[in-house]
Amino acid sequence: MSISTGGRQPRWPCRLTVLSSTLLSVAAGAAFAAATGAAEPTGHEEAGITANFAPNAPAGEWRSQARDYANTRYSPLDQINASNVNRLRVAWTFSDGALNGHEGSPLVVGDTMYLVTPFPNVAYALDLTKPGAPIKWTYQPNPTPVSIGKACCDTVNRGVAYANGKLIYNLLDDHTVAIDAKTGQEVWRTKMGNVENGETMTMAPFVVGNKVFVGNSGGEMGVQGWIAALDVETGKQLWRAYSTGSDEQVKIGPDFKPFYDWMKGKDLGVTTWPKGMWKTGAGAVWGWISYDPELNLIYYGTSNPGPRVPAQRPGLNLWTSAVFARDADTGMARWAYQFTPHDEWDYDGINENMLLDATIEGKPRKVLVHFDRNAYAYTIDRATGEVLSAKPFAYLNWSAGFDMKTGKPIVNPAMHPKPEVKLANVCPPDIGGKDWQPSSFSPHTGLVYAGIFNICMDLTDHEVAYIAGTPYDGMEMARHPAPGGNWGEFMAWDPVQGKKVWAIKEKFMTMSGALATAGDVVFYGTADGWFRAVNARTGEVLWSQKLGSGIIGQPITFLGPDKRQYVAIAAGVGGAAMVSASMDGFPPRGGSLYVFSLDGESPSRAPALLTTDGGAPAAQSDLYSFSKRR
Amino acid sequence: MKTIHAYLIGSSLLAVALGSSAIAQQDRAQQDRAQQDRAQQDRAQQDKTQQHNSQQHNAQQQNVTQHTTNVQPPGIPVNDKICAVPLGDIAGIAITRLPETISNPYAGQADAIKQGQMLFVRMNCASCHGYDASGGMGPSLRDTFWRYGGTPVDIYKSILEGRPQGMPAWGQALPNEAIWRIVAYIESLGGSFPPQYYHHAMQGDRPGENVAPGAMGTAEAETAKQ
Repeated sequence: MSISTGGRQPRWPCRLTVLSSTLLSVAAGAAFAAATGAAEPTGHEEAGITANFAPNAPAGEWRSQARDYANTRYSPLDQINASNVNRLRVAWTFSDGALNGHEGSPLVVGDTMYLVTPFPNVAYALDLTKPGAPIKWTYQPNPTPVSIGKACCDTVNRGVAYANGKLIYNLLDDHTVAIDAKTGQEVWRTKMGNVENGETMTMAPFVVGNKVFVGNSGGEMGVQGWIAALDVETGKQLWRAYSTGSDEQVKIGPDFKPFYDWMKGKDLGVTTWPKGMWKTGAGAVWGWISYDPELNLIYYGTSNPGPRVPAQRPGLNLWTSAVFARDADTGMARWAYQFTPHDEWDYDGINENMLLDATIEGKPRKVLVHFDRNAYAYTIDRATGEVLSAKPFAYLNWSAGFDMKTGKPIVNPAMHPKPEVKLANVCPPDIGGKDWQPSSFSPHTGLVYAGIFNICMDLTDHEVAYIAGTPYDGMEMARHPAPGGNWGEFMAWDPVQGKKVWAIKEKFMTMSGALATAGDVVFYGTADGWFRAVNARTGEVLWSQKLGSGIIGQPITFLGPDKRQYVAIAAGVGGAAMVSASMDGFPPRGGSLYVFSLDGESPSRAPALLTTDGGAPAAQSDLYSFSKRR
Repeated sequence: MKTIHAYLIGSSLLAVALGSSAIAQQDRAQQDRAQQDRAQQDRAQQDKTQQHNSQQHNAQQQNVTQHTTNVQPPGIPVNDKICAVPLGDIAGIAITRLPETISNPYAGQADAIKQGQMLFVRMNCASCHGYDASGGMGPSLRDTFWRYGGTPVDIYKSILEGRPQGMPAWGQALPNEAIWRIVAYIESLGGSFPPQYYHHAMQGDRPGENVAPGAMGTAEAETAKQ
């Protein structure tokens, strides 16, 4: 890999912080130091916050959706930086043939890019060594169309995982597949659930070692939520932990030590529900998973409880709208924390838990940072589940405050919905102050960047009956912007201070993921299709490009075989962004990947029409194979 | 077992629907909910924990048997006729008059529309198609786009049989008159087509549009030519 330092100004003198880092990162730091006399900053000691970037994939690759176990989505590349990012132009594009919401990002492993489409979940391998990144292979799994009608929120897929030469991803119809990354041949396929039950799968699998973790969707369909570990080589299920049910089903045992007393007790996944309702209690696991290799714990959240009519299910409704810390090998729960006890507004707990190491009130703490649907930003001790801070990051009125003693939010008594009674202006709405769109951390700035919402809802509950295969839902909603009139906002958040440092208001929803890079640039996109690069320190918008459809996926950055840095983002609106579809200017559906570089340079820019030596037409991508050009 | 349970829901809700304004009364609604809860618990016991209670199972079976031998109200089209309506256009551009003869026995009846709307909510149609039927997980039922046909018999068949992209089949859960009431509600939304429009709709025609000379006509035109 190479890091170009041309044109980059050092920000301030920095000390080199020793963190887990690859040989490449250290070499790059040395190169930078040689050029500028300063050492590559790998931590933000002034604010006392850093991250473990294990498994430390090569800097030029993007091997997992969140880039690392901690879910920082941070890239150490800085060829593209705050001073030259305004030269970004399209280098090449790829239309993947699917028009539903594009919520995942591609992976780059070696010289190949891999991506998976929304339903019908086709997988492509693109050859980055050739002009135009032609398709190496295509894998068509043919999931059943029945799954289309069971997906609450568009037939999306949040991305593919890579492990041991295999690509692993979930089909909408509840099958997890592994395909050979070289050939596209199916290696194994495991049925995880039943679409006739209303169950689907949309999340990106998460790999740790020889295990891949997957979970279900169906929070509105009365499913019983679960997370499972499969063997990467064979696809065999190693364990499954439910989100509701007995301690045995939830895999709660003697090692389970929740920090707060109200989560201590036997079989709370049954007893905090009316009789039997835990079976249709949801707690689906459709979001992100992170992992601490030192504690050997995975962290993930559970969805809202079912049905979405709280009057039908008095009780805490454990373990929904919560975060679990589980032993990665056995699946046994170590601790849990419920963000929204007895959720009444569809505040799923599935948003990402970013693992950071911070100095809080003078003490070093291993924390997780989580922007919940309920509009509180949490900093939680990830070893114990203690809430260190809970501060609003978006407009909210469902809660009057947070009780740090009990670890519970204080519910505004006016905000309890009653069936058949319209409750106006509930903020945030069901989709929250922030939904699943993931945040990114920069060790240079010590800030976490996220697209958030500024939305409220009018809500009327209707009591519902459970009919398998149909929604177990009952929420009738109309969403509108909160004060200010903007639907979206992109912010920089200081997780130590618990406050916004800067924010960019957006007319349309900001439902894309965030990407922070060592070039001190942060990337995000809007629901009406604007892809932006922003100064990571000041929030100044440095560059914007209009794409073919709205952006609800995650940007990635990588080095091509030509050692050039590229930024890639999919355009294809859908998913929960459709709640704002009646806005003037809301874009139509789309399904294209855009890849950018400085000045749009890439080996794709081959001008000539080609023929083989024998005179037959040749593919443009054969540029390097043939010598004759017409 | 799932099917039987669904029948219980359907029959209990239908009994309430066929009453006058009984659904508005709170005690009836509570009875309804209690019945649903019991039915739900019964199903839950049998399903997830694999504890079969054969006596309970047999009792439910008897309820189902009683239900299916009920006499149909007069005017409800028989299923044989409905099943003869094709889903696609007929090879050879053959004309069928059958679909044009099947209209909704409850069309335009205010009581039936109200009951249909209640069923639309209580059977979870609203959760997929929207509480105002303008779409969501499932398509809008207010507009004029009908992938599987928009005349009353087409809509009835879609509900009865289910459709491939996740629309469940309700024929085993709901009696025919309940489905026709739901169709009456959907017809009242304004996006469906009258029965005599079956072939027009198949050909994408709009009322009042110009028809260029030489354009292949519909059933009436073919008959008139002869």
